[in-house]
Amino acid sequence: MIEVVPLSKIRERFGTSTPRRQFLYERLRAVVTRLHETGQVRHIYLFGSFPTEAALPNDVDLFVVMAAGFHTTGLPDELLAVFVHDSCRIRYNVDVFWVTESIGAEHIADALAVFSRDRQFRSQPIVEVIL
Amino acid sequence: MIANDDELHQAETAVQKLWRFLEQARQTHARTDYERLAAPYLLQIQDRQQEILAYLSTRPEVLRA
Repeated sequence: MIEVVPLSKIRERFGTSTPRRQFLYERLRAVVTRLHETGQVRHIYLFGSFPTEAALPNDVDLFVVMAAGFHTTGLPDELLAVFVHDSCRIRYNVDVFWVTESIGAEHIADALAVFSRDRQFRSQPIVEVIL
Repeated sequence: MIANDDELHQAETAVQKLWRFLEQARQTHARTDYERLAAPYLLQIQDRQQEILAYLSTRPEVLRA
């Protein structure tokens, strides 16, 4: 069961306790805002160390599902940067794993299953971020 | 780091899922979009495969020592 959490609650729960978390929350907020500016976001899932108790998460990990007809061609540079891995990491400290719904629900579920385990194979939370 | 055979099998399953995910994404996305979206998944596969190879390159008694 994936918890659905508004961005404001994400800030309260995960974005205030340390300067590192405050820094990363602002990056997360910027990326989520950019994603919504496309008008074609379906789901934004937050996983990794940020939605945990870790005091010093390294970065922010997002799995983003866009509408089936979404294309990156023609996006303005500030939006395109969110969909290009290196640019997004450098600019926002956010790893964006994105795909469109056209891949199919089975493969989206598979990706969520992979992201629900950390690299030590322990269960880790995934939350869906909404505005 | 993979510590035992159970974790090895979990890592193999994760790689297979990511592999199949990319195979399907390659079929269902335009070329430019696919090239842009694939990078982080490929890095995940590469990291996990390196962990698998590191585990398989040593004998069990060496890992336990």
